Amino acid sequence: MSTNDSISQFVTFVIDNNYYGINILDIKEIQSEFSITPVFHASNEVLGFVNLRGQIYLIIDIRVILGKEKIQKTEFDLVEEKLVIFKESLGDPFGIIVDHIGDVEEIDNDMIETFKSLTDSKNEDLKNLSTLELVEGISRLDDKLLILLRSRNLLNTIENKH
Amino acid sequence: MNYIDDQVVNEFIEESNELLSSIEEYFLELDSSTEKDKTDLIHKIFRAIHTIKGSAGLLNFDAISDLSHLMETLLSKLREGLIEPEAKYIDALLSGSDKLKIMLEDVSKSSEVDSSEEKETISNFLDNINIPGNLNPKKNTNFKSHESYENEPIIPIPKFKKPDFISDINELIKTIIITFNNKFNDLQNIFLCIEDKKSFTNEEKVKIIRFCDLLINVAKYTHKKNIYFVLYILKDITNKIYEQDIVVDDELIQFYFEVVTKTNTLFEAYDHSDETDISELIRHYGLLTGKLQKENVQQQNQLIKKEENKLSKKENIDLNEKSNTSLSPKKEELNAEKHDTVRLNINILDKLMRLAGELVLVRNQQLIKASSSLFDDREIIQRLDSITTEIQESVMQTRLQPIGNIYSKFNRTIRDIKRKLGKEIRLDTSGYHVELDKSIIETLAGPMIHIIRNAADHGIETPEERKKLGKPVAGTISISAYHEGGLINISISDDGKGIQPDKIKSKALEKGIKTQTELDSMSEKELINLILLPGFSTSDQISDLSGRGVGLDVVTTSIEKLNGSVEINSKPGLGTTFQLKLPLTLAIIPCLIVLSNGYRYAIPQTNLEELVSINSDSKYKIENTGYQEVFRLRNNLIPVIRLNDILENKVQFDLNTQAQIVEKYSKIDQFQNNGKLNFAVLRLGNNKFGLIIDQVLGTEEIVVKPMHSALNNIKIYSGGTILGDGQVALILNIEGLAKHCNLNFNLNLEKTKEISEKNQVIEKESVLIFKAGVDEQYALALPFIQRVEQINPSSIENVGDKEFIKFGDKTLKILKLENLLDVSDTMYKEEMYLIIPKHINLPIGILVSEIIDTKELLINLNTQSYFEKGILGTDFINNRLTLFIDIFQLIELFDPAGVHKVREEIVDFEINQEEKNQIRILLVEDSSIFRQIVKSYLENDGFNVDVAKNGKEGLLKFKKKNYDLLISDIEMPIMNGFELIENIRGSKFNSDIPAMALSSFGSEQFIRKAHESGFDFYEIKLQKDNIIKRIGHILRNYINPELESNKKLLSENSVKLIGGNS
Repeated sequence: MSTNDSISQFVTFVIDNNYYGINILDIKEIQSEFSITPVFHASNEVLGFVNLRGQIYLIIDIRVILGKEKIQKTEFDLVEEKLVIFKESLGDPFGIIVDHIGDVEEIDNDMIETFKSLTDSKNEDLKNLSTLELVEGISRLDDKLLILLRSRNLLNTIENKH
Repeated sequence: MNYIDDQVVNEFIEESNELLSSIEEYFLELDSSTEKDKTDLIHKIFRAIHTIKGSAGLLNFDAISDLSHLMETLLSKLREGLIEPEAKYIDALLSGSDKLKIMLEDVSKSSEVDSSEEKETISNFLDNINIPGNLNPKKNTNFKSHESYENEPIIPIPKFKKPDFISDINELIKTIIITFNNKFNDLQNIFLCIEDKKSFTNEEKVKIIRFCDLLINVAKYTHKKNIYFVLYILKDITNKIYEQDIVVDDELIQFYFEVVTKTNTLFEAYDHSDETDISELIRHYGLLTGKLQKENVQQQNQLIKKEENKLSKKENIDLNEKSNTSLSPKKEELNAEKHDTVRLNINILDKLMRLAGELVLVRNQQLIKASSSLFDDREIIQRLDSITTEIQESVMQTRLQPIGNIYSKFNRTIRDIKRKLGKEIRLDTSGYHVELDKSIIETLAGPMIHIIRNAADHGIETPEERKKLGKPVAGTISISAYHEGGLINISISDDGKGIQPDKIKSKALEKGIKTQTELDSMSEKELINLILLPGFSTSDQISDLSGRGVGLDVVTTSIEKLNGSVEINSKPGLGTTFQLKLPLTLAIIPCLIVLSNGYRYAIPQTNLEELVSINSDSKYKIENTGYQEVFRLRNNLIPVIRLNDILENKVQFDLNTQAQIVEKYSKIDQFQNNGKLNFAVLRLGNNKFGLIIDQVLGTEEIVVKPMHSALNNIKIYSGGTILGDGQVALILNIEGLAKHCNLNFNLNLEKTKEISEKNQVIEKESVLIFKAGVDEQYALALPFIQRVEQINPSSIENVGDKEFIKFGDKTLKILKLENLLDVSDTMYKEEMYLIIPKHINLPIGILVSEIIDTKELLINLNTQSYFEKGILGTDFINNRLTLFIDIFQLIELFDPAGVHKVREEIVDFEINQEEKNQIRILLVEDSSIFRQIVKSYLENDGFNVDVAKNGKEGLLKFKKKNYDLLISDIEMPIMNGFELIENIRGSKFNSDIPAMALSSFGSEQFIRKAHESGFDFYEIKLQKDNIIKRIGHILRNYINPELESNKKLLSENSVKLIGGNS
């Protein structure tokens, strides 16, 4: 590919009408048909376990991390919501559920505003996320603001709970 | 470059380790092998050490190569026959190879390992050998090679060449017979294997070959042709079975057994053995061996001739045996083994295993699809199905190894112990072929050695002690492994002195592990199993071998890590058995799948004892102790917990949660679920508990996946798995569940017994629930309440510091709870209530702010946790702690003068306090509230009161103590008051005790019945003053010693039943 070092590709997705991006290199696959087994006693961010081809994935409810209402259903059968599974290099297998998946955006690294300028942001989501060190940065696209997540820290949000 | 080096080094380490462990086995075999084998073994050891030395030199591991060089030199002396393989040499070589192992653990630092001691020992030996005068000449008599410190009766069989060489033939025959008998165990094992038609493990093969060797050696040696024949046949058949040259069918097994029996008989009648006719046996043998028949018959004829004429020319017979000689298959076997195995990285196996798991899932999905598809497709899918199953099984097998692999380690342990302690110990092993997962086998060796050491050190007595006890001088430690219930069972037993429960008791007390009462309620077995607890060691002196302050708890921990369990059975004087139960593999375990809260959970079968299902019409019920639900399982009270509630309550249970759960289920129908209540009885160490689940779905072999690291803090799960339909299910961690529920297994027997008996007839009591202050909720039993009046607090009038209210023509004195009890202040509202108590001859009303409810409840009064005058006790009502009012005490607190005055009016006698103290009253009453109330007012009056909860308990107590007065309720569970008094009047002891019946009934008929049954008096329960008065009357007339004459008179003539003051 002709990508040079200064361009990164981000998979974008929507949660509650906000746009988020995850570095495409962190993502293993995206699923739209799955069934969740809840884990009683786990912290609120944990939706449960999903089996994909013999591997068990822990599913995190990113909505809870963002301070929104928890997802209630456990069956997902070719729906708008997608399960984003991360690569094993990020830790024990896990994934998140997003409202729906958007395009893959190519963003020049210079166009990413870094974390420090965000702490006094008026956007509540951003504030939440930045306290959890979940935000890599933000990038302004034509008509929207894209929040780039640091997927590596997603698992910590649960582990740190205890 | 570096990579290659690493690889070479790794290979060197692996190879050397393998060589070293085989060396160890060879050494141990040396102790008990024939001369010919010995030379062979020494050659093998020599070659192995030589290889290690060579490779180490090449890779510049000088320390390793130095040590192995010395060992090699010593071995070469052994090989050349300059020295005999005596124990001291073998010890030196063994410790040398141990050191080499240590060096190999971290080769890069191998030069830092100090091996000077080993080197010095070996060098010293070498120096001695090299001095010509000190040369240890090879002895001619082979019998001497047996090591003196080991009295194992296994005698090496000499090569028989010249029969006249032995002068005392009878002596020798005896040894042969002993040897044969010793090997008889092996024979039986082989026989069992044949019967099972199983294939042999390598270990067994070696045993068989050695056994055949022995047979033929013995055969060669005897002068008796019949014995020679039977042994020959035995050997030949064993060999044939082993070579799979012959069909193993019932006939063969039958024949085999016949031969074995015959051999035994012949040996027994050794001198006359040739007089027996064994031609039938030989013919049968010929027939069985089929096409070999002719040759064999010829061969046998030849043999007979040779046997009779030329016993010295044994070489010929050896030639004849060439086709099935014992040595050749052994060599082939060893060669074949080398080519049949491939060294594999375990990661590849793990990956294969995972992939096979995935394949199974795909298969399952296909199967579901196939059920609705065309017939043609189904056939293919069925084939896929069977192939997948086979693949999965084969992959699983790649990880399985026979447990026999670790048995060899134990020989070494036993050898060490024998030498150190001077004990005679025989190790008996069986079940070599039982297979377990590699990782389990590896972990298992440690705990098993610990147990064996323990048995050898603490269990088996010294030879002198054993002689005194009439036991065989050599103690036996037997290890056996077998399959049972989908689990691997390993039992390690010794025939030593066993465990003394008393010793355990005193030790547990001394170490503060248990209290005396706890210990008293424990069974012998429970006591014995205490030694598995941390910090327990019963050996009086700490020895070098075991009891280094590390107790058997290490065993428990490691076995439990493997999802297994340990149990000890011991008979003092007879021995101890450790029973280990383990899953076949850690990766795949049999589980019970259950449903709870709509999701499926897996319970490992190792923890599962049994399943219990009770119907709504069954007499068995879940009972409770107030804080814990319990179930009486065959006279054992086990705590019962509910999975649904565990899952819903994230926080570890405390007494409050427990009480709430008990309360919750005591209110609702236990059997909502199809009229059935299911629970699994689970084992946790030596304790059992029940886990109530919604539904049992069945058992399944599940592939265990470790828990996600982010959820490691959740203790109630031990992992996850994927079920047949692709859904994830969680595996329950039994220990975690018990901890989460704060389970207490030391249910006080006395207490629980009483609870369950009481619950047999459900006792409900009506109470009024109300509030006065902000915080507390109160309850008062309805029979104590005359009425409740609604009042307006503004109509309360103050007189001094007292408050009054006017009702019609009566003025009531107002009682406020906070003035008498340590409770929050009464809240003032527009509408308030006044509770007017019954049976109090004073005009008093209790002011309360809110009436909540009247309820009929199962009350389990807790009289321990809250202690205050005026309060009977506490219980939970509507999930709230509720204080039960003792109305009599409360009134006495409120108006002592008034109460006293009333008493003086009605009680026309006075007994001094001292006399009262000596009077023992037995109060039998089932209702906890009334029992508490009557007891407390009698005790306040200065009497000694014992209580019983029903007639049966009352009768038991009555028989134990000399009571002066019996007061009993009539309506009671198990045994009512009528039955009680009939029993008492009919008994020999104290049968004429004055007895007063208390009841809330007052009918004429009832009173008569009480009289007929044997009661002397009758009172209405709640009329305290009347009761007191009546007691006074009884005491004055019946019990007071000065009025002894009166007693007789009254009891004969003037018994009058008084039916209350209505």
